[in-house]
Amino acid sequence: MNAKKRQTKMRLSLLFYFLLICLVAVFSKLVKVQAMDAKKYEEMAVGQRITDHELTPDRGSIYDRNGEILALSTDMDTVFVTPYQIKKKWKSAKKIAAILGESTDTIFEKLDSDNGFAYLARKIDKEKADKLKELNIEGLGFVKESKRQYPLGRLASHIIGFVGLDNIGLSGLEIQYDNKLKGKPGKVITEQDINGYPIPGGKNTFIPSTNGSQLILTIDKEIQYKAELELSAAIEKYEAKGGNIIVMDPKSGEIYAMASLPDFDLNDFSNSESENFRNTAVTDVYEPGSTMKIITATAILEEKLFSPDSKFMLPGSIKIGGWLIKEAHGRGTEEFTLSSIVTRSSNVGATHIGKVLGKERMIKYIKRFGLNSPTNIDLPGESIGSLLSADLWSKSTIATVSFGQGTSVTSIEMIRAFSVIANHGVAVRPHLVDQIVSTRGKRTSLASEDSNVQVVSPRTASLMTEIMEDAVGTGTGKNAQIEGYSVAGKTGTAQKPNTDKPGYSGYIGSFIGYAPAKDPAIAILVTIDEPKGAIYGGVVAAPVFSSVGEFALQRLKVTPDQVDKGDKQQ
Amino acid sequence: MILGSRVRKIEFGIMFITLSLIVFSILMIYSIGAISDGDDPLHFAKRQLLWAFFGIGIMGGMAFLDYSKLKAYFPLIYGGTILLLLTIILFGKSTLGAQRWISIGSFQLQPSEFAKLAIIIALAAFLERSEGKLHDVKTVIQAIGITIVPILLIIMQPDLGTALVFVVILIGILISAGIKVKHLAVILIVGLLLVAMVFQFNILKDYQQTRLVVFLNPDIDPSGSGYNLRQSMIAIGSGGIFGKGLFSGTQSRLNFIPERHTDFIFSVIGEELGLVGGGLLVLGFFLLLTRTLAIGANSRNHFGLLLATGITSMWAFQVLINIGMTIGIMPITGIPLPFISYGGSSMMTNMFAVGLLLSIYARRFS
Repeated sequence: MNAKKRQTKMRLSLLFYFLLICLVAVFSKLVKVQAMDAKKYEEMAVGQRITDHELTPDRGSIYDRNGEILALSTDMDTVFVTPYQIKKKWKSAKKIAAILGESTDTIFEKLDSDNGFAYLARKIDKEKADKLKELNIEGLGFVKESKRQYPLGRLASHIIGFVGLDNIGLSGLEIQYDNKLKGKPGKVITEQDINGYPIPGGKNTFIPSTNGSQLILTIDKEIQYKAELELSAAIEKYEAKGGNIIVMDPKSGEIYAMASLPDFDLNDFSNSESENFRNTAVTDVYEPGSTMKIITATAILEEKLFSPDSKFMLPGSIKIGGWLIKEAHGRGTEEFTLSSIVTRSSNVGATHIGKVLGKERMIKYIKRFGLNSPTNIDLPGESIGSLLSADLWSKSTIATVSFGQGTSVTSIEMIRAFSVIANHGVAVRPHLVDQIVSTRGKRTSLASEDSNVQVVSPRTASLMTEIMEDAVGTGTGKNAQIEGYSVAGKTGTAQKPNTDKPGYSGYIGSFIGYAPAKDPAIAILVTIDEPKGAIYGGVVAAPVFSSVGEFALQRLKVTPDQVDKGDKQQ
Repeated sequence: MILGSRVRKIEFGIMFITLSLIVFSILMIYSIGAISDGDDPLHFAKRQLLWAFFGIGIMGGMAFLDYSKLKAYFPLIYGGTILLLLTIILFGKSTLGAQRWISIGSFQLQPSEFAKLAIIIALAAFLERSEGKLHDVKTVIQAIGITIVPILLIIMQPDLGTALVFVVILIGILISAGIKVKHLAVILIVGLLLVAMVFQFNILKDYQQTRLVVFLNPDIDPSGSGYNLRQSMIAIGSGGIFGKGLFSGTQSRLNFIPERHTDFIFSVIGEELGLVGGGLLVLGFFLLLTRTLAIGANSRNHFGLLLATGITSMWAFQVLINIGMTIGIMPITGIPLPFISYGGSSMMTNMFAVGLLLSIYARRFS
């Protein structure tokens, strides 16, 4: 019996020591968790309780020069889900899908996801959001998110640009002025429980948000509308690929209208072809063709090589560096003046005076007119035109550059160059934003005359204006005439270089001009890309200039400077 | 002298420890307050107090009775338990994917709690009757047979954790009853093979498997199954050495901890009372279990010894598993912490066990 008792004691001791070891192990782990790792867990606990809520500021609105609203932000409902709180996932998904008009599978996947948070639908109509709220499904959450809206849809789409879902500017002025428009987000830091309810007496810090500044553009909504209307009518009429139009105050650089077609709907940009997002007036270069003759002729006059009345006997064609330069419309040998080389748009004449001007001076004037440098317009993605560097010029280059082939420009560069002449020889910076108005009402005007440089003398400029008035009055640009106003301008019809192989195919017809000629209020550029049926700038582009110009001049209440109408029409 | 002999018959140590644990339990449940908004914050504390009074009554009653008399009723106790477990499978109420409850009025009975004690009594009675025959494999197999029936019924609920308590009770009683090392080794090996088979043939429910996997790597799925463990560890860890104070546990009060008045009550203790509070509780359990073993060792007969070691095994396993799961050293199961977790069935069972121990102690000489 004694031996048995001893054995039992031994067995009980065994159980006791086993128990002791286990409890010591538990206690050791407690020491590790609560003493050694306590800091880590404390941080995790705080991290769980404290949540930052960003207070999104309102993005600044965008107005045209007359206070017409072009872009604004409105509050929309966003629905999110805390998946593990959802019961009866399939049933809930079915109901939600019916309201959102999506497939049950898609919604179910979101409800069944492993995340603690998932967006169900962002920025939806109030009506849909209210219906979802009525479902009373535990685990659905609603927040207000600001949605950018563009009340005028396609109007000025390239200028205004758009924002992404997160309200960050993605194109146009929206990205260019994103820093000003977006404002500064505020923050609420709250301690909250697992369901996101604030803890009574918990920490609460409130940093208010600052709304974004507003932009007041130089754009005139009405002129913009008219410009887009006329441009698209011309493109349709000539089955063209696209086109640009820019209406600008040549004295200040304020842009009244700028459009590139094809365009897109700002409110539905995600369903538009991204190809159409490019504001080709700024981002694309083209060979200008005969409008370039203005630069050549201006250089001749500024360098005092000839006067407008200087006479030249010009053959019907001219051979240079192995190339035969011909006129657009064949003719025999004729006498031209410097003036009529421009007004009748003679390629042979331009080649002739170009040779006199010479390579160095040609390059110098192209550069001075800013055809190879950014205009610094306040838009993203500006390209610059290109010109062969002097050492690469062949014998024929001086000829082609003189009449605008073998060199490229952007539309915005070209209208700035013409504005130099319109503005008595002074270059201005084209711009779209007139003022930035902060939430506190502080106005910052962006107009600056620092960049204004005298490019050519006022005398040269006024001589050129007279020549261009003739080009419209009697030359290739007759279709650009505007009743009651004197118009100076130049047509251009350029061959388009192939992008994939050497040589040319297709045309760009253009017209650049300004009115009233002596004291211009507007300069307008019109380009029509690959028109069919007619190719000449004087046919496809000049009429657009005329109707948009007439509208703009009247809208801007510019006094007509020509009473004897009909006299000009010959 | 009569008073003196009465006093010597009472094991004040175990009574003191038990009552301290119960007071502590009610205090912690009171500290947790309402589980959902709008509920009476005292609801659970009041009920636990009620269970405590019932429990003390049961304990006292049992202490006065001669525990040896239970031996005679063991077939009845055993049969009744099996019947109850069958009932629950047929008519039970299910919570959290398992049928564990029978409703009686507004109270819910959890028969598997009572079954633990019933099996301890049955095994102790059976093995005393076969004292000296344990070297015979037949006796070992019979003992296993007695335990396996309720185990299977509880697995069917399904409640794997509670079923494991029975396994541990069986092993604890067999060891103290003098099982041969060879037989014990065979039982353990066969047990391990069975566990392997359970995994091999996917007998575990999905949630059981995930819990095991998560136990091995809690960061797998922080918002899903690993969520409970993660939240529990954050609560306990952030409690630090001295805790955040009663009523001040940010994690436990803010609904981060699930089942915080029952299975995860130790997370609240760890957060609000820190290492000091948790450590004292572990010490309390250690003293309780030591006293229980001592009572067994000094028992007048084999039956008392086996009862005491059975009870020790039951409590020890529950304490280790329950506290262990809150700090990530044991997988998550629905096993309550004796005397501390909220719950009437558990309280009654444990107080009945204390009563048994008091009875064994009081009759240690006669």
